[in-house]
Amino acid sequence: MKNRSYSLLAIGFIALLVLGAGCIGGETTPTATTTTSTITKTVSGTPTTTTTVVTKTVTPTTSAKPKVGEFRIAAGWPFPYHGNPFLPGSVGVAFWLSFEPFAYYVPASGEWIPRLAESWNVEGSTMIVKLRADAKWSDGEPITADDIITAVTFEQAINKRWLYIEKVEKIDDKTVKFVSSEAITIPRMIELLTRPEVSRVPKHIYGQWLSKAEELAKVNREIYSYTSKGEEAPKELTDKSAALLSELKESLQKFKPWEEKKFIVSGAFVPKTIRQDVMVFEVNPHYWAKDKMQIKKVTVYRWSSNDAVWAMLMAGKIDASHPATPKDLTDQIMKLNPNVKLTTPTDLGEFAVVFNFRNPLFQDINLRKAIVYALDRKKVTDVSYWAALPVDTYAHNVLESFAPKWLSSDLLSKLTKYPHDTNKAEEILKSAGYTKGADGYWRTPDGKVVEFTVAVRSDYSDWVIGAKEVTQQLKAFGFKVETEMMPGQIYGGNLRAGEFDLAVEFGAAWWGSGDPYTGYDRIFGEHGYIRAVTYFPANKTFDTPWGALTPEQVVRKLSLETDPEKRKELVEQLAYISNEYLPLVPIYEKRIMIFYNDGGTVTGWPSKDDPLWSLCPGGIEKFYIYLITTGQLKPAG
Amino acid sequence: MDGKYFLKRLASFFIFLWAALTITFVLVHLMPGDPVYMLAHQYMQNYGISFEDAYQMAKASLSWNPTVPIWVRYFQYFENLLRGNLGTSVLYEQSVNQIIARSIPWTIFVASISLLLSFILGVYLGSNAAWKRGTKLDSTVFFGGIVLSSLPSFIVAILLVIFLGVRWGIIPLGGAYSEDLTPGFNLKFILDVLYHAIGPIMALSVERLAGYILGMRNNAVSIIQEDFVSFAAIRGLKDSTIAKKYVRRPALLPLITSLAISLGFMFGGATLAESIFRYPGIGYQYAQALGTRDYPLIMGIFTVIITAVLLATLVVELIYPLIDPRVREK
Repeated sequence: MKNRSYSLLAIGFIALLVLGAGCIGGETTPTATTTTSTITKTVSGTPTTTTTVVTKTVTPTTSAKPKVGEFRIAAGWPFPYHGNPFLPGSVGVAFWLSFEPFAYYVPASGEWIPRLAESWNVEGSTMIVKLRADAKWSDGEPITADDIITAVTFEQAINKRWLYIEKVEKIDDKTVKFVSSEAITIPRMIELLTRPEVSRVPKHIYGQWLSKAEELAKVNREIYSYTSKGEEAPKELTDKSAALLSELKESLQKFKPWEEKKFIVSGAFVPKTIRQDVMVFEVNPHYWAKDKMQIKKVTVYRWSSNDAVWAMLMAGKIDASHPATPKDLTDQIMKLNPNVKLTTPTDLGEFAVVFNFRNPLFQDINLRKAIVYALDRKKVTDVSYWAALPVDTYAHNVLESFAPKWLSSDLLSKLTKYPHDTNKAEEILKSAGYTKGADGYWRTPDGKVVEFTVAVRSDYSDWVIGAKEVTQQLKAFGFKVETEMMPGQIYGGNLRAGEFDLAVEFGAAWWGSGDPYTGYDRIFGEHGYIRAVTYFPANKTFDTPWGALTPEQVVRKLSLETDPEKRKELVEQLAYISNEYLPLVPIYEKRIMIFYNDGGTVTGWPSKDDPLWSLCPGGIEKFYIYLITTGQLKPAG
Repeated sequence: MDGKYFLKRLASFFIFLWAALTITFVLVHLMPGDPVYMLAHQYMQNYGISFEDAYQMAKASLSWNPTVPIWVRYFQYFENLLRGNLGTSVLYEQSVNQIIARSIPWTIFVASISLLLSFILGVYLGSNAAWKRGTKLDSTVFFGGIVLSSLPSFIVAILLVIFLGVRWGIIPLGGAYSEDLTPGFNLKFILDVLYHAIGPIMALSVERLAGYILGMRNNAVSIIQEDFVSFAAIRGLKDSTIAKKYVRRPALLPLITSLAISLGFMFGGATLAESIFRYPGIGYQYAQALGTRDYPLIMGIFTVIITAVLLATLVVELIYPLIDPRVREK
C-alpha cells in the first residue's frame, strides 16, 4: 500500500512537471492561426506524394522519416523571438529565408541573378532598379518603391549603412532611383543589390517611425560627407546623431513584430512555428516564384553545437549543413549515411598570420620575409584545416582560387615567390646582420634574441592547431617563440589594443562581395579591420613597378573605379605591395565544408564544381533559397 | 528545534545570499569581453558583412551602455532584485524573469527526474555493494562507479546521441518535443515529451549515479564496522533488518545533504548536455548568455542557482535536527 502511494506520488509528480514544462515552457506561435488558413490553401494545391519517397539512409532512425516538400537545415535565431531587425540578434535565420535582395551575385562566375529586382541600370553615380511587378509582402500588399525608400532610410539612420546614397527617389510604384555621392562601382553595386536589408521594413508597418528615421539619416549623411574626405565631422552633428538615434531606438525597440503578429516578409518563406530548438517556415503565399517551388516547408533545427549537427547529418535528420569537420569524422559521416556528399567551395577568406607593426622587430622586412620562407604553409594547412586550399607560393592576398581571374602571368613573374625554404630564410637574416647564437636562437643585429608569441583565440580549434604548428616550425628554425591562447571574448579587443606580436586572423576576406576590393580595404583601407589591428603603414608610399604608391589611396581608387581593366591594374598594384612588403602571411584559403544529403529527402543539388556554390559564404541560406525557388531542389523519390 | 535556531539559520541565509550575489556580480562584470564585440562577430559570420558594418549594427541594436560604472550597475541590480525584477537581457531585449521562467521548467523536468533516478539507484547499489563487500557484486559496482564518475555528462550525451540516437534510432536526436506537436495536457504530448527527455535524463543521471554509488558504499562500509551493528547481529536481528535500519538509514544522512544541494545546483548543471540535445532549458540559455556577455541574463541565472542552493542548504539545516537527534542536542 505504502509503495503504491509512493508510485502514484511519483507518477503525479512527473505528470505535473510535464504539464508545467509543456505549458510554461511551450513556445509561442502567435501568428499560427491567421497564417495557417492562407498557407494551407496553397499547400493543398500541390502534389502530395508523401508515401512514394524512398530513403536510402542506411541507419534507420526515429527522425529520418522523409516528408515531401520539406527541406531541413541547422542554424541559429534569437529566442525568445522578437522579429525586429533592429533589436539584438536581428531576425536570425529568417534573414535570408524571409527577406529578399534585389539580386544575387555569384563570385566564382561574376554572374548576376535577379531576385526582387527585374532589372537594374547603372550610369555613373545613379542606379535605377525596376522591381518585379508581382512582388508582394506576405500579407498581400505589393512591394513598392516606397518600401525600398523606407528600408534605405532606416539603414542609413540606424546602421549607418549606404551613407554614400544621397537620394533614393520613386520614379513609379515599381521603379526606384539611387543617387550616390560617388561612382557606383562593382563593389558598391554588390553592396546595394545583394543585401536583403532593402526589403525587410515594409512602409505600412514601419512608416510610423519614418519621419524620425529620415531626420537621423540626413544627419548621418552630413557626417559622412566630412568623414569620406578624411575630415572630422563637427561635434554638434555627431551629438545630434547620437541623440536622434537614442530617441528613435527607444520607441522602435519596443516593437516586437512576432508577438504583435506583424512579422511581414518579402522572401520565399514565412516563419510558422518558432521554438528554442526548432523553427518551421512555410511558403509565402504571395511570393512571386511560389509556383515553381516544389519545397513548401523549411525546418531549421537549432545549431547548438557541432556535435548535434554531426549527429543530425549522420542520421539523415537534416538535408544540408556546413560544420568544420575533421577528416576522420567526415569519412564516418559519409560512411554512416551514404546519401551525404561533401563539397568544399571557397569560403572567401584567408587564414593568415598577421604582424604587429607597433613592435619594432616586425618593422624589419627581412625578418618578415625570413618568417615566410621558414614556414611550411602546406603543412600548416594539412594539420589545421584539411579541406582548405594552401597558399604556399605567393603572399599577394588575392584569394588563391580567384588569382587566375585577377592576376596576369606578367604580374606573377614580377612577384617574389615564397616556397618553404629555410636556407633562403637563413641567408636573408645573415645578410641583414642577424646572427645565430650557441643556444640556437637568432639574434637581431643589435644582439637581442628574436623572441615573440603567436596569439590565437582559444575557441577556434582549427586556428589553435594552426597556431601551434606555426610556433613549432618557427621554433625549429631558431626563433624563441610560444603560442599565446586568448579567450574569444577578448581576442579582438587585445589585438586592436596591440597586445600581441604575431596573431592568427582572417587575412584577405571577400565576404559579402566576392570582390578583391573588400579584401584589400580590410588590409589597407582607412577603416580596415586588419589595418586597425596590425598598424601597417598603409598611408606611406612603397616602391612598385608603377612608381611610388600609397596602398590606402590605391584602395580608395579601386572603390571608385568602374572600368574592369583599370580595376584589374589597381588589384595588381595592391597584390604587388602585399607580396613584397608583407603586411601579413596568408597560410590558406578557407573552404566551407558543405555536407548535403542527396536523394534522402531532397535531390537536385548542383554538381560539385558549379560556381553557384560560391553563393554560400556569409549566408548559406541564400544558396538553398535559390535552389528551392527555381524548383531545382525538389523532393527525392 | 527552537525559534532561536530557526532565526539564526534564516539570518545566515540572507547574509550568505547577499555575499554570494555580490561576489558573483563583481566576478561576472570583471569578465573580459563586451557584448557589442561578441554580437558583431556573430553578425559578421551569419550575414556575410564586414566587421565594421557588423560592429555598427551591433552597437545600434544593443541598449547596453558600457560607460555606466560597475557600482551604479550593482545598486541597480539589488534595487531591481528587491522588487523581484532580474533585469532586461542585453541580447534579447526581454525581461530576464520571462526568459528564465520559460526555460526553467524544462531543466527542472529532466534534472529532477535524473536526480531522483540516480539517487534511488545509487543508494540501492551502494548499500548492497557495501553489505556484500568483497564479493563480485561489490567489485563490479565499485569499479563501475569509478568508471562512471570519470565520465562527464557531455561525453555521455555524445555517446548516447551517437549510439542510441544515430546508430540504433532508439532515442530522438534532440529538442523537447516533436516539431509538429502543439503543447497541451494530452497523452500524446506527454509521451512525446517523455520520449524526448530520455537522452538528457540518461546523460545527467550517469555522472550523479556514480557519486551516489560510491558515497553510499563508503558510508555503509564504515557504519558496518561500528559496534552497534555488531551488537545488533549478536542480538540475533535479521540481516535484512540490520541492513535497512542500522546501516542504510545512518549512511543515507550525508547523502541527503548532498541530494538537497544537488537540487539547488540542478538549474545550472546541464549546460553541455542541453546543448548536445538541443534541449530548451536554462543550461542552454546560460551557455548563450556567457558566449555573448549578456550580463543581466548571466546574473539572473546565477541568482536563481545561488538562491536555490542556499535555500536547499537552509531546508537541510532546518530538517536535520528532526532526522538526527545529535544535531538537536547540540
